[in-house]
Amino acid sequence: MSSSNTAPPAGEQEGSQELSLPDIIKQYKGKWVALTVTGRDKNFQPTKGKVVADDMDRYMLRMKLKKFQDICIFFAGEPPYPLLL
Amino acid sequence: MSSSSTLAEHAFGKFPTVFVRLRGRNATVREFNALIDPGVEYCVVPKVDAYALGYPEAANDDPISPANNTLTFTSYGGYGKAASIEMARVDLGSFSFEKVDFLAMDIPPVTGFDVVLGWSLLQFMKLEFDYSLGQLRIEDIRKKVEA
Repeated sequence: MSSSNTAPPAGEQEGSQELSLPDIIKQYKGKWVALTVTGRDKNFQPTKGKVVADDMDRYMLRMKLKKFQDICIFFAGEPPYPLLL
Repeated sequence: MSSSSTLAEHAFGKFPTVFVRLRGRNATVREFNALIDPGVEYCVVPKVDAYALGYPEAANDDPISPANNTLTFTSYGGYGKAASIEMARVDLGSFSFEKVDFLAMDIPPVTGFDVVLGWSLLQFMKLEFDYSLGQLRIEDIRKKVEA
């Protein structure tokens, strides 16, 4: 088997650039996103990060995160329907 | 971490959410944008994440021999069952809480939320919601209670 194809599978990103949270939400709108946090505000809330994986399906996203010991996961966007829990 | 005992001027959108770090009993950390819901009794984490955090019993879906820690609950949708787990540590802002009760269950992904913070954690806090400004203030009241 050839080892020349070293690109990560679709939805997995290596060496991604640091983005602000609003930019991540804009770029990945409607997807579940996993990121390594690179910046936090005074309340220790993430403000910047590097996206390591994304997927429309949150369970498929988890499958891409097994190697990560510390990772942040969120949905980029708002629910498409009125919410009643 | 800071010694501050408040999380102030935290902005939220339509729903009050806050990023929370969960450390499991295997020391794995998962951080989520969690929905703060004073109307629920337990915090909720997806089963797949409970498993990753070191709680394999959360993945037991066998209705014939459920795990010993299975708990029956009621919701708007009727009765349900979920595994009750004790999260080793929860970090919210500068606060850390140990041994917090969670239910391992899956909220429909279409909601956009997968972690909910309920009474099992919120009982240690004073919460102030300002929906007109979309701002949240949280105060850790454990020190006052203990004093």
